[in-house]
Amino acid sequence: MHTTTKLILAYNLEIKPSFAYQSSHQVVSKVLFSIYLVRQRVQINFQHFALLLLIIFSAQSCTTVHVYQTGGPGGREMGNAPSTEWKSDVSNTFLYGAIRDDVPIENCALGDGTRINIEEIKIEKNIWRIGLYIVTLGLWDSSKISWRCAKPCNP
Amino acid sequence: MIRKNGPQRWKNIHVTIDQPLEDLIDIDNSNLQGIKLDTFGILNQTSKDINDLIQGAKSSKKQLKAIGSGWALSKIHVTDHYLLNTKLLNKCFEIDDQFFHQDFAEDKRKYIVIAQCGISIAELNIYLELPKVANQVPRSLKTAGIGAGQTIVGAVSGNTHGAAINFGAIPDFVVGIQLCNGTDQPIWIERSTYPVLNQNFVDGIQSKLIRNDDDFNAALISFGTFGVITAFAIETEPIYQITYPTIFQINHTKLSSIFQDSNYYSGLHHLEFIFDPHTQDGYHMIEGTKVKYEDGHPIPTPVWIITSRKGYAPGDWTTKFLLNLPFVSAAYKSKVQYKEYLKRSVLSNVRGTSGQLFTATITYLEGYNETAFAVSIQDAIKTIEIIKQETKNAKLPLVIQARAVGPGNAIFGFTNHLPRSVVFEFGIVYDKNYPIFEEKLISRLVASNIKYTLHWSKNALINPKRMKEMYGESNIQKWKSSRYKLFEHDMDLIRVFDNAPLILAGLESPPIVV
Ligand SMILES: Cc1cc2nc3c(=O)[nH]c(=O)nc-3n(C[C@H](O)[C@H](O)[C@H](O)COP(=O)(O)OP(=O)(O)OC[C@H]3O[C@@H](n4cnc5c(N)ncnc54)[C@H](O)[C@@H]3O)c2cc1C
Repeated sequence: MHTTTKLILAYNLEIKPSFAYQSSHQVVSKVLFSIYLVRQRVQINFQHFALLLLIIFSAQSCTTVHVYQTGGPGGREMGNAPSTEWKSDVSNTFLYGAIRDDVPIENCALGDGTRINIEEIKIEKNIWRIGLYIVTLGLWDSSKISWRCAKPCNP
Repeated sequence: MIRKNGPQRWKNIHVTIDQPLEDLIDIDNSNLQGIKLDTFGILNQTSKDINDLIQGAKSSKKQLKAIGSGWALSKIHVTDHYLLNTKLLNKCFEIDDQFFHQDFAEDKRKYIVIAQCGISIAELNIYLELPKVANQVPRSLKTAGIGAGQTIVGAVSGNTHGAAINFGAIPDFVVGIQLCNGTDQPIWIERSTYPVLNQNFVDGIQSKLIRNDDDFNAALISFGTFGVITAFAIETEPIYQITYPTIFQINHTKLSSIFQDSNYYSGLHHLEFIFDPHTQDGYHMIEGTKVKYEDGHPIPTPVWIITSRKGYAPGDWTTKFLLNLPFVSAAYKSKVQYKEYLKRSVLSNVRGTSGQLFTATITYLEGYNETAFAVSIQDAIKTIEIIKQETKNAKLPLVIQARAVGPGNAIFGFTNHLPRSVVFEFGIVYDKNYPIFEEKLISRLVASNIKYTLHWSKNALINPKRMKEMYGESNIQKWKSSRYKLFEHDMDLIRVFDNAPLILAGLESPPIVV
């Protein structure tokens, strides 16, 4: 095997599955950046370059999107300051939304039941979920939804 | 109230830790009766709930550890058993004149507040800088790290620092500690040389009073191993702004002369510099001066924010991926990083309050570690040379941020070097190269006779030999003596607060009685 190919494979083997939580625009930006760096610095033939891209894509085709509040009074940024640790549920939507699977959040409350807000949400699709979506032609759409609650109001 | 969430996996913010827990416990300020409690009522309810939890852990022989925001990158907040989430305990209280110690100067009283353990630095900034009560003066924290998402107790316990060259680090503005450690009552600890609150206050929070410098200085930086700290009394100051001129570049010779000249930095509030270790020369200086608060200055744009206005940001693993990119030299990657760092992460040509300037909160850099160590400002130049050589040898893509900090009194304060500390810090991919590089750096510092200390919440390689090198045997014994004394030598209680990093550092064993 050619040394370059060996290097790429060796590198790829080290990538852990959880490596790949990315949203699609992040994957694209990553690939564009890789192309930019590689083309600037390395003399590499086309097949190897294509192989590199393929490996990057196959290792990365998973998505994560974070949804969170930002801002604060007078420029005092309060973004991403949750009061709880992550909690998750899997949501499965079938038949293009004919059957949906909501995620009721019950833990964003104090011990006495007073509700506090949701601070942030994370939506993840791993390679299996994406595969399932493709194989079922979109009939089964599965995502992992995680959330953290906001801080209780301070006086 | 207490809520037990049961067994689960837990990850810290940068996912340098991902591990199972037997229980994740939330604690908050609510009560089933729905009664609105006063300051003492809230503090007493919390300390009772926590003491009960500790007693429960003791009888079932489990470990219990408090967490704040989980921002520490080392394992100082880790246990396999019970993790206590304190972030819902986020109140801040004023203190009536009648509760101050008679020796505590009257004009300083309005600058003391009681902060519950889980209040974040951002929440504190808003509470202090934007008071909602008409006669309350606006106040500022004396220093802050770059981020505002840490809890006050988490930040203190891990020795969070900024670049307050003529003050110190976050632990250095704490003047009173309420500690719950499972003994019959909570403990209120102050320095005997700096009494702040009186017996009426201590009675009000149903605690026992310990006024002792060594115990205070030991408990201050104790990374959750002395028990659960429920509240601090902190000393603030009248609101101020910090003004930063446009950053400027200097060469090695000039940097060296600055380090030797205390007149240069005596008027500064903030001294920081950054450099690319792959370049021969050139340092960007970030210098801030404390100025009187004035309305009307433009609100600073937040720095250290990696998300664009439209929401685009590198994915959770992108940094790790880019830094590991094959075929691209480390020097080139450093150059790109350095350019980005200059664009996004420096305070330049800006004026604002501490709460407006130090706001880093949104950071998902999974798989990315930060490591930091401190040396005396007098050894900083030699240290820079070592860092440059080792970074090049290891072919690592790094940007080095260095911040100068004034010395404090905590026994395990890693920022206590004289006359000032310089903390060198760099983001690094969390993989097998990280400990190798860190090990190499430390051995070079030792070989060059440079006294170093490692950041408690960023470095994993703390062992008994290193503890001795960093703090000396007598400080280690002092710290252990206080720990055992505060637990009243109850071995079962002490074991509740042991955890792996403590044992690795050799700090769990009893003090040597001379
Ligand atoms: C984005 C980012 C920016 C940062 N910036 C800086 C910086 O500028 N300067 C710097 O020095 N560091 C910095 N750090 C490191 C961070 O400040 C420290 O790790 C700090 O200790 C984290 O506080 P925390 O509230 O997240 O506490 P955690 O990480 O949850 O815990 C830290 C320690 O505090 C203990 N603890 C927490 N609460 C209690 C309690 N109630 N009682 C007893 N023990 C308790 C824990 O057991 C643990 O040992 C940064 C980290 C991140 C992720």
